[in-house]
Amino acid sequence: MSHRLLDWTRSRVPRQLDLRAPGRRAPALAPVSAIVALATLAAGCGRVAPHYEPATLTVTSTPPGAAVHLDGRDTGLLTPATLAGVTPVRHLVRVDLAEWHADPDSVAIDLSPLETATVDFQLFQTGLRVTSEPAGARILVGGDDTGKVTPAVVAGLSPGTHHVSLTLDTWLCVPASLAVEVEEGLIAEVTTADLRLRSRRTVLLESFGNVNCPTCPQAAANLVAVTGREGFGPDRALFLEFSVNWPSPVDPFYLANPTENADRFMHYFVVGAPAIYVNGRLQTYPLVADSTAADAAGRWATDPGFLVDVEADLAAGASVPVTVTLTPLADVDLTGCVLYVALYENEVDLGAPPGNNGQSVFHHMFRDRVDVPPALGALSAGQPDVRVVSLNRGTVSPGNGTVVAFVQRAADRVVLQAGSSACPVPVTAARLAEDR
Amino acid sequence: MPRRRRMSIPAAVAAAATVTALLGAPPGALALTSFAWEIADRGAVTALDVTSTFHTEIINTGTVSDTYTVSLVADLPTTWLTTMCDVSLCYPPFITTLQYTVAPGDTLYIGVNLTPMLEMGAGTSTVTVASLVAPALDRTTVFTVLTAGPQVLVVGAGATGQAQPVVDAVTAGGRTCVLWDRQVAGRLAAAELGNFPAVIWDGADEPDVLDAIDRAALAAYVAGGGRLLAAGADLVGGLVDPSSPFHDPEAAGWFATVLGTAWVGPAAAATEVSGLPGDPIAAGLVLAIDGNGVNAAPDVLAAQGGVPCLAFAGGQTAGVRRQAADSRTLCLGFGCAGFDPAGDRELFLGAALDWLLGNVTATGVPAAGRRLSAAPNPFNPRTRISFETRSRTAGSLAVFDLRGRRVRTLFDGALGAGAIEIDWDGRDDNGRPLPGGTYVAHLALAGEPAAKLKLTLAQ
Repeated sequence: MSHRLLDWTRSRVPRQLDLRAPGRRAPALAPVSAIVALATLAAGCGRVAPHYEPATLTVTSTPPGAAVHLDGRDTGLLTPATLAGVTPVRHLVRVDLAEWHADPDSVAIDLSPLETATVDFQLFQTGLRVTSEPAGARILVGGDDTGKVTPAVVAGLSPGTHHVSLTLDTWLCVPASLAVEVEEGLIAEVTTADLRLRSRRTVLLESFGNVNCPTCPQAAANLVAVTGREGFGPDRALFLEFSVNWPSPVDPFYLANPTENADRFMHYFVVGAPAIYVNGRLQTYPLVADSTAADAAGRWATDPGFLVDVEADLAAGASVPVTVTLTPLADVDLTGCVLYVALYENEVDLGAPPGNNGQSVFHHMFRDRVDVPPALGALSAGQPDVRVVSLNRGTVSPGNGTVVAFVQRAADRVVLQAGSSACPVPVTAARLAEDR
Repeated sequence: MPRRRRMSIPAAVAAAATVTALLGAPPGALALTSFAWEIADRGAVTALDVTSTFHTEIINTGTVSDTYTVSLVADLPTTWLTTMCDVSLCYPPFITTLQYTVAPGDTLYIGVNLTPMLEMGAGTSTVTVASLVAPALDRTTVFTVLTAGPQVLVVGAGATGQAQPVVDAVTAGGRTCVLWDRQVAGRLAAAELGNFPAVIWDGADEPDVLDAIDRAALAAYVAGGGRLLAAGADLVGGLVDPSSPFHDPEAAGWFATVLGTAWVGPAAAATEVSGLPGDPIAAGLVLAIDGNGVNAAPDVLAAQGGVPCLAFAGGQTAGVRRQAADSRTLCLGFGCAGFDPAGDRELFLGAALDWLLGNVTATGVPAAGRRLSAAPNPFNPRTRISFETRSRTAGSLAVFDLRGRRVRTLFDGALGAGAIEIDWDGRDDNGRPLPGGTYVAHLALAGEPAAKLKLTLAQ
């Protein structure tokens, strides 16, 4: 479906300089021209001023009376309006009329010297406003690309039911599409609660530290900062901190679960702390946050073809029931992979450093895991693999714990996909296919 | 006045020294290879499960890049752990060799971590820095950790190994003991000394030992109620004698204030000391001090606030004890390793530690429950050993020869309260008659320091 109703023309005219101000707001043109002229002078200050002839721009709309914005600034004019003495460069034109929406929202126009051009906007009161998290997703209505990206209003839709969906590279739209009722004269809303973008891949950052390791606090702080960055939501990247038993063999986090901490650092044959593994691969510069962030972001482009979702009831008691759902988006063979399910404590403030590196506040500290990670096999598209396990919450308060699950290939230790109970809405196969 | 022997400076003392080497270089230029190894501390006394980190910096002070191999060798109780860190990573215990290329002027950080776990004692991590360009620059430093807990700390202030007989004697006497090699492990702070009920500072004749910092730490230790035995040939004279290369004008005041002692001069050919009559430590003892070659030039002392307790054969004062409100000290003008044979060393140190730790009063009367005597003594063929207990307890009474071997166990089990008498027939555990000579009765009662009594089996 296309709603490109823009109709603008431009024509060359003999060189002229028209400073008259046509239209109902003629007096306002003089200041606009003066500003343009002053800006031009200022831009040329200190060098030889370019010689050019100004252009003339006419902006119209249906219905008329919309405020005209040029390059993001309100000109003070209402459509139809003619702006004379316009610098012959690229300009962005937009109109604004209450309760009306233009489609497209704005027009970029390259003006040549002495050119006279017209931009005409069609305004609508019927349409659809779509927002998403993250922004920048292309909006599809009825399966057709509207050419708009979120957040945006798709105007000019006919009243009735429209199926809306979003596409964004490395993200999945959940549900796949949404039925929206558009009424005459109204703008329907589609929010992030209606159409959710779920990362196709959740990257797992595993960190190994020790309370006597001088640089471990920096690595830990980097992980907090990286996963808190714009675009690093809980379904984009999650991290889990294990403890090694050196330099201090009596690290309290290590001693809280020495067997499973040791099992993990021996799994990777960790030979230096701090160490950060991104999806099972050693991060070369664990103390450089940008490096870790880039490493994580670089893995989003690879779609493993399935999702991992975690539902955990930490308030149930000392034994936490956990449901892990593997949702294949296509046929995928996970033979040779295991499902690792672990519980971490979100934040631990010990008040005083337990070691000699000064760190007293810790994040995402590993506490327990499923003793024997179950082996996985082939998954068929649309047929989720649901696993129910339990974890020991220990002294972790229900509100301060998170359960993570990830699929790791045994042969090369690559983590294919991860998920956590911190994701707000699990994506089940049924929900994925849902069309509301 | 003859000056005493002086020993060479150990390599470890020069750990921060810069060593240089000239290498082959293009004509008209000389490439200088050198590095400095700066070490803040080389030893610590800690509790179990506490990691001590020794911070060091290796600075390439030469004009060319060099590659340094840093290697770690551990000598630790089996449950202890030692590791290394650099400026960015800490390495697991199985990584004992690291290699770095360092540009001229750059600094390489190496942290050495040592954690005592499960068992008390002492451990060392020996770190060697080897230069790839100039192997002659290789340097080694030993990092030491002791655990708090033993009753006695022996600070070996003389040459390495010289104080080991002292440790052996204290241990043979039934006390827990640990050795701190001052030359290798560096200084101890007063707080570290304070982990031990008694400290034996043994040895002398080394530069920068018992310097102002050491003395301040010991003074604070004694002021805090610590019990100190300071012993060593030339220990006092080396610092007080104006002709000594190690003379320190402040030292005489320290000896007087802390140890109640003044220096008189060197003792000529002193091979024997005897306890002064009535002295709670050594009354009746005559002991050779010419063992292990440590007492070539003992000091003659004088009491200055303290009380003489030992004398050389000529009657000159060899030892001074001092008792203040909360502290006791004993200063000897000779080294304890010189007591010979080993049994006499054990006998004297046992008595000295008994007094230092308050088990024997200044008037020489054993504390209640600790009275240990034998009659007749000397004896042949039988003597009766007597002691008292305050309450029901458990304990043992054994006889040792002067080589420290247990020859007879007279009792090992529960004891009632009151006077106890046990006979010894001069035979060993197999019933064989023992040769005449000196033996030591060793009484150990639960919860109390051991008591010892010298027994003489007449021929």
